[in-house]
Parts: sequence; structure tokens; C-alpha cells
Amino acid sequence: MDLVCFESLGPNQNKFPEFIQSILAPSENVCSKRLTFGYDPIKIKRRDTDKEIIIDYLNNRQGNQKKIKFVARELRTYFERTTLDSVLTNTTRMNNAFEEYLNTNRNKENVFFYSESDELSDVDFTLYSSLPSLNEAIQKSICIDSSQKIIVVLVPSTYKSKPNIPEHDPAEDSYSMSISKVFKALSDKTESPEERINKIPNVLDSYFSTNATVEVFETNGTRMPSQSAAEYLESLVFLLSLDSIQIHQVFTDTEGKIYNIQITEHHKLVR
Amino acid sequence: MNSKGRLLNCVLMQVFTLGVISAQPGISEAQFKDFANQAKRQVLVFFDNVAELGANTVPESIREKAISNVTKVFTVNGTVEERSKGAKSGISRPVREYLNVIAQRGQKAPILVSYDFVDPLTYQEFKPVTESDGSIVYRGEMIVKQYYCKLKPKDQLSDKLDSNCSYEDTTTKKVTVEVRLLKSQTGKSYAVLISNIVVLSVS
Repeated sequence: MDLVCFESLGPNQNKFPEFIQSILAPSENVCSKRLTFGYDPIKIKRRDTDKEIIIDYLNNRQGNQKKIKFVARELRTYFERTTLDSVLTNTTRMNNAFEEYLNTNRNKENVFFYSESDELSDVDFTLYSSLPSLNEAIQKSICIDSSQKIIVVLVPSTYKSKPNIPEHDPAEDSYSMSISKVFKALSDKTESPEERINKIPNVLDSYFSTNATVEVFETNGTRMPSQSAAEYLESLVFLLSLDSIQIHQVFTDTEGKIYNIQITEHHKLVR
Repeated sequence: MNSKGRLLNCVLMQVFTLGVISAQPGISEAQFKDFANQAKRQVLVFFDNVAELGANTVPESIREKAISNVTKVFTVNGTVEERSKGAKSGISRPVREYLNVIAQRGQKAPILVSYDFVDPLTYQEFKPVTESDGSIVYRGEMIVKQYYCKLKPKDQLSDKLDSNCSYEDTTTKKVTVEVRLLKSQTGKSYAVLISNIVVLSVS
């Protein structure tokens, strides 16, 4: 297994952080009880400084010594006794190393991105933010292909979620325009709220599938909680300050009915 | 305070607010700006629906939808305070109860509501608060002004809008909003909800 990181583990850190110990410790629930793949040997690579360390005591183990239980116990002892190599605590040299790595590795099946931060959202790669989910994904991958090397990438703490407003799809233009007109009609103040509310069942029936959802994105791409299409359409009727609705993306089912629509609202802020 | 004092005060405030923002890992400035926008949107939902409820132009079944729209932009325990001109203290009610009162009052004498954002929430003003379960929510406040007019009976209404109110006031209100991270199967999203509205002054 390779553990790839892009920043110092901390100048004041002299032991391996707990979460790294958990990532590196092989689990007993994998397809085989022998550590013949995936983990051995363990390399920890600093991509920002181009240096690495190898936890090499696992090499050259034979027979029963490669049983996962044995290795896990040995590894625990290793972490208790070992102080962190300066390779892992030296200061960062290249700040954009993660982005470059991400660009070439984001879709590889043996590469798992993990972050200790609970706040990363809307990233454009598969991110594991809990150790159990990471462990489960690694095990599944090993069971499918026991010959591959597992690479766990620690997303640097400085990495921020990028606002991810769905891309505009010109092929959807005419349909989007039609939906846009429907939204506009429901918020048209020249008709009474009662008349507009009474239109909603027809709109739902004509355009939306049964459990359709509406996702509102704010102007910089922050995603608000999803809501049912029916609830959202009802909210439009009383939203007097609504100026326009920008449609980003429309997802339709095999019958052409919308099951998810992603939008941004624009408002007149003063009455 | 002299000009140097004001300058120092301003610098200290900048340092303080920057400190608050930079202490919040994982949430970008752009996201805080979005939270501020969404907070305004939720206040607009509140005022727009209250205006419709008080105008008494829609039947009861439709009014119930307006009430439902508003409760969705408040936290579960959200409250709204109301205070009349001259009164020393106001009455704070759970949001649904407040809306029912407005709707019933509107049936007797329609009201008009207008509003303005006097001091909108900006992205620097969110502060992290740790909840009892260890989760972090971000709180922010904004100041709005609401104009309220209880209309005279129909036969007494004139073309002069100024003289059509049997009672009118302008209240300055403080709206507190909170931002909560939600996780679901489809990913992470942020709920921006009003937790309370209190009256600061009535004129």
C-alpha cells in the first residue's frame, strides 16, 4: 500500500496520527486471511517534497508471518515504538502538488482519496471522509483484484471545495426554456395565488416524475437541501420578490419526465 | 471618539472579523457569501408570505400553503416577536402560531406589509457555535425594517394611500439565521434557516 500525502504531518508531531495508523492497519475482514496483496510493503510518500519512507519490517515475512492478524499486531507495536521520520514532518515545498496529482489519478480504481475534514463538499472526485467507508471501499477493491497496489491519498487540509455549478448543456435549451416559462408562470403576479396554485397539479403531471426533486444552488455554487418538486412549485406562488430562475441542468427519465432539476433563483431584494 | 480612535476601532474590527472567518476550516468565502444570499432569500419568503396572509385575498386552503412555506424556512423551534407602537414589550410566538394570528387578523382587517434590508448579513458575520452534540452551526444576524398597515374598512378607503391605515407602524427587527451542514446519499448541502425574529424598536 502507498499512502500519499501533500503536506507535513506537523512539525510538533512525533508519533503517527491515529487516523494514519487506522488506514495502514490491515483489516481481518478481507477476502483472504493472508497479507499477500494490497498492503505489503507500505510506503508513505510526500508528493510535495518528492521523498518517501518505507515501513519495511513487513518485507521478507514468510508463511504464517504474513497472516493479517500477525501483521496488524506487529504494526501496532511499530507505531508505538517509532517516532516520525523528518521526511514526514518537513515543511511543504510544492503547494499545487495535490491538484496535479488529482488531475491524473482521480479516476483510477485503486486510488482512494481520504480527508479528515468534515467540511469538504461538492468535490469532483470520490472522497472518503470516514475511516469505515474508506476501509470498506479498499476491501471491496482488493477482493475484485488482489494483484493491484492500493493507494490512499490524504487530501491536504488546505484543499477547499470548489463551487460546482452544473455545466450548461445547450442540447437542453429548448426544454429548459419551456420549463423556465412554467416557473415564470407560477410566479406571475398578474394572476391570483389561487389561480397559480391550481395550475400546479397539471404542471407536475406534464413535466415531472412522481418523486421529482428540485436542487437549488446559490450563485457561487453552494448546494441547498433538495426538496420535492411539488413543495418547490408551491413556494414559488408566494415568492413575490422572485425575479428569475436560472436552470442549470435537467435530468429526465425514460418517459421524458423530469426527476431532478438544478436551478439558481434570482431575487429583487427590496420591495 | 476622535478620528484616530475610529481608525483603530475599524482596524480592530477588521482583524476580529477576519479572525472569525479564517477560524472556520473547510468553508470558503464564496460559500459564506452564498449563505448570506440564502439568508436574505429566507427572509423574503417570510415577508412575502406574511404579506399575502395578512392581505386576506386568498381562501383558507391557500393560506395554509403560505403558512407551510414559511415554517420551512424556520428552524423547528423558530420564533417571531411582535410589538405594537407604544408597548414596552412584545409577544414572542412559535412561527406557526404567529402566522395563524396574522391570518386571522387579516380576515378582520386586511394588512399591508412592506420591508427593507437595513443591515443585511455579510459573509464575514457568520460565527461558529458548537452544539451540545458537538456539531458546529454558523449563526448570523441581519437587521430589517418592516412597515405594517392595518387597512380601514373598504367604504372608508380613499385614493390617498397615506390615510388608509387605521393603524400603522415601522418596526426594526433583528433576524437570526443559522447554517447547518446536512449529509445525505446525494451529497452534502447546507440548510440556511431563520431561528428567530425579535423587535428592536417600533415607531
